[in-house]
Amino acid sequence: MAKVSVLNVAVLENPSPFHSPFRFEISFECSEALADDLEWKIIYVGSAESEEFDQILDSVLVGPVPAGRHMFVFQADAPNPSLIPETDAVGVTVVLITCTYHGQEFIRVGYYVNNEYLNPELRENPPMKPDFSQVGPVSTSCFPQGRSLYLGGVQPFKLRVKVTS
Amino acid sequence: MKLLKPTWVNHNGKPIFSVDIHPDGTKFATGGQGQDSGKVVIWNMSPVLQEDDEKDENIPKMLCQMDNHLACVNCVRWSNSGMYLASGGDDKLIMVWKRATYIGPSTVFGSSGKLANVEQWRCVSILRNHSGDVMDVAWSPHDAWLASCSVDNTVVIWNAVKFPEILATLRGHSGLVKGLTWDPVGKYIASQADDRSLKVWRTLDWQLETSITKPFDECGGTTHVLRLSWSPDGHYLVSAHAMNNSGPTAQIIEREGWKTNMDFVGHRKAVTVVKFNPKIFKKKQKNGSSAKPSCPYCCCAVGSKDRSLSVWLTCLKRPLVVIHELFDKSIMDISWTLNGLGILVCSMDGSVAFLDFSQDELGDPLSEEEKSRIHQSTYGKSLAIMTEAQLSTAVIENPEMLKYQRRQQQQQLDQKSAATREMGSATSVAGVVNGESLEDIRKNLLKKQVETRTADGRRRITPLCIAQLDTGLKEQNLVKELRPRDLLESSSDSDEKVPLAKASSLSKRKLELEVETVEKKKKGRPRKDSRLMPVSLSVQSPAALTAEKEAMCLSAPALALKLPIPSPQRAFTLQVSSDPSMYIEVENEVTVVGGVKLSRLKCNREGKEWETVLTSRILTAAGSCDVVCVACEKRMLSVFSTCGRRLLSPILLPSPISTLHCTGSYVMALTAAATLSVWDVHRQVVVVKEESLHSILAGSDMTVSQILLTQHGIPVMNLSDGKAYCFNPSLSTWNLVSDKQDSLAQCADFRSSLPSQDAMLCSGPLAIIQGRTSNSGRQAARLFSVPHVVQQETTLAYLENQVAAALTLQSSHEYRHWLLVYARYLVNEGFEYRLREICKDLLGPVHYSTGSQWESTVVGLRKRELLKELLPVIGQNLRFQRLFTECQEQLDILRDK
Repeated sequence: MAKVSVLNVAVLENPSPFHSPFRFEISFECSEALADDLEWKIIYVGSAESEEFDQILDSVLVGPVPAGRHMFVFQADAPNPSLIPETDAVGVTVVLITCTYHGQEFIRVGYYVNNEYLNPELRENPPMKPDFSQVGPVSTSCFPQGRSLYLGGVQPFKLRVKVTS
Repeated sequence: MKLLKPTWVNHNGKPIFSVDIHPDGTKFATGGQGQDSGKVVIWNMSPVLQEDDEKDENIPKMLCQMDNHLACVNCVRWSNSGMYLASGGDDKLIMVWKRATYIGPSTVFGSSGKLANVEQWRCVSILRNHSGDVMDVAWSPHDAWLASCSVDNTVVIWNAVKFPEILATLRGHSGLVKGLTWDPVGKYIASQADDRSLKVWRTLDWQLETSITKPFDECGGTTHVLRLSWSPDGHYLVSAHAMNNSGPTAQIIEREGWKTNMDFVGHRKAVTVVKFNPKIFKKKQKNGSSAKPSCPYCCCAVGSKDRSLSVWLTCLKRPLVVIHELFDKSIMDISWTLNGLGILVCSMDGSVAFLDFSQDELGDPLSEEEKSRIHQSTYGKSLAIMTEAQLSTAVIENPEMLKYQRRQQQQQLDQKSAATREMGSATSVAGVVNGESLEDIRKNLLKKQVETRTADGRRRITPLCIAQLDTGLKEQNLVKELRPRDLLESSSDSDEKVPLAKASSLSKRKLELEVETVEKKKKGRPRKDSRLMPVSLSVQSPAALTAEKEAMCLSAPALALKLPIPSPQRAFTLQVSSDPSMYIEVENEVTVVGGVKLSRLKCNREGKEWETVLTSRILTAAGSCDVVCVACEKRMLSVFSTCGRRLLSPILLPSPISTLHCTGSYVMALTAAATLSVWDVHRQVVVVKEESLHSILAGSDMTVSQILLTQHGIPVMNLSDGKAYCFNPSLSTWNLVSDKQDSLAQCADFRSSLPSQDAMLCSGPLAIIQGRTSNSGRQAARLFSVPHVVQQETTLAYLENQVAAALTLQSSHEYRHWLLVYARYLVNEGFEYRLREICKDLLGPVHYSTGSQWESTVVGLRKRELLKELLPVIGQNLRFQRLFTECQEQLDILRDK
């Protein structure tokens, strides 16, 4: 049975400017005490084209985890704009929250991130070089995946929730 | 018959493959297709049953939604105890769900909607073994086994006490197995498959008993499910999809020799599901008609691919009712309510229908006992009938129950019965961290959460535990910690906020009975006499008059009783209490001011003294820690505060005072004319208004030997004949609360149910009135050979009297004591119905429903706290494990709210 399952992920301060940190409040449930820590990561997908541009914004260990329901806030700095391909700077992309135990990923929760210029003019005619100070508010919406650690393996990842912004 | 299609029961248009009503009838589960997973939903039943509840937005419709199944759910089934829900689906898994004892509702994570789960159901076991879709699951009659069948052609029997242990895999089908049913007496399990066969397996050795193929030879095509059913009397097994002369039927298979002579005919397409009513019925007896004993019969619902539903009674040749076009697509599952009068039907079209029958239509259901009797007469031993010897081998269904049983055994070894109470009910405790609400926690979570660095410099967050799981040893400690507090709470409650005289009709009835029996056995006074006694017979009870006959009885009517009145004394002292030390001194006619003689009243309380003067002689005085009152000549009554301040202008009594009493802020005056009044001087209300003692003193040579006023202002009169009556202000009745000659008290033997030595010394008004009745009477009664049944009855009657009396006296402490003794006795002697009624009353309605008259407290005690105290008592008898589990679960539910 599922030893660990995510009960809820709440995006705090949403929407918020591009340069402000991501903050997720994660609650999960564990049916028996875990011997080791869980490792949680926030990954910013820089470009849909290639995983090369994925930025791991932060990774933390969470533990000790006794049986029960737990909660923590996972905060990570905003992505480094210089590592984002210019063509993908503005528009919809994805932030992933993953959780691994003993190196095996078993939870992947995705959020759509919509980066838009505030200024309608910039929106109409985006500058060649993206100006991230003008980007925002960034809104995120959820598409959770494979929320439970089954002793069987990882669920395939697929997108399913339509974009809302 | 009423038909209802609750449109709010849906899976957003996706098919519903299965429906099952919880054994307690308060909720039901549906299973089917979700967005891109399987879906199980638990719904509230009351909005289906009551229109008012359906309209009330405060009453939740959906209780919990679980989308953990990775693919479509084909079957949901509650265990017979109602504790577990099993679901099986296309993901080859069976999940077993249990109510989680957590705080607060949670949302369905990942769903776009904001629907909150009212109840939390947690998957406690995932059973993996099948290599194909699981089509049906079924709990054995006593929840010891769970069977599942699958398109992998097998049936698997799981050990429900020790998931995920597999007891047997039944192989033999050569096609997809699509339906399962247990024999109600637990001897067989039957399965039906696409291989055009129905197989019956023995539970003794899990081998094939018989394979029936003939009625299925013509079957072509497939149905999604083949849910067969066994009749509650065990005589008939009815299959799904069978054929007879190229017409679809439901084949009836007789247990006797597995004969296949009859079938239900009429559906135009394959039968997908058959479900027997859990009740056995007998013909409704009509008034006037000669009571011909009719054969009991069963009732069966049949659903088909042709979208229609038929309901049959085995005593009729034609169906009771056929409903065509009930759905747009095939019927997938049927579930009866436990009372046998309602059915829920679900369909592939994603909707659900509810049918409500009346007893006139179906007949009178047999009680469980009658049903057991039928089983016993037919099969000898039935699982439903458990003798003591069999109980020892009974399966314990609930880990908590097991804990109690073990503990009990331990205690029996240790000879420490007293310890039982200490342990309390071991329900898991949902923790709100440090008393903060979840909202508060969330606000400060980031600031509060502990972050450290590991040796390699990585951040490590210690998550905040918001709820502990009900596993392991922790819980026991928690419970231990909690117990004393609980007790404290309830005891303090009892002192403070006690609703004024809550009448108990029960006690009244009981007491009337008691009066009757007592009178019957009274010597020298034939019963007729006491029955016919008119008021005039009660004229003048001479013994009630003492030396002060002459004194001021002029105002009293000639026909009235007369009670002694105190003669004026020169001076007297009265000790009110020793701790705090308080006494009253009275000196009559001490000073003369302008020709008027004044009397002085002095009161000393812990050295502090006050005094006041009155114009007439003081006849009697009384005091409590709150008030001091004195009765003077000329029928005057004066009330003072503890500091000597006059609280009321003098009260003019209807006749001279006989006895005066104070308890707390209550003042009781008994006049020479035998009328009684009680006032609450602080709230300035009358509790008892000039109530005559005629009814209790009438016609006999009795006198009042002792008077008591309880701290709740209930007056109690001890009479010279050993009886004691208290006046119940809300019913305006005199209730018999004690009788020294009560034969019940002498025959009753409940020593085995007494908690321990110290609890014997339960003090309170009832104990004061009844005195310390020695055990000698009881023991003497034991020397005579009283048949056990008689002793049981008298003990029950006696204990019920005690509970009722404590209730009438509003003595919460004693009520709790006697209730526990009574419950313990019921548990020891195995009286289920009374025990269940008590639990039901203590528990009250779980889900808020309109028109509920339930009071949450009784004599200032919280009923549900009382029930928690009862639980460990109930847990001592394995026979009551269902009751135990039900109560415990519902308490958990209530606590979660």
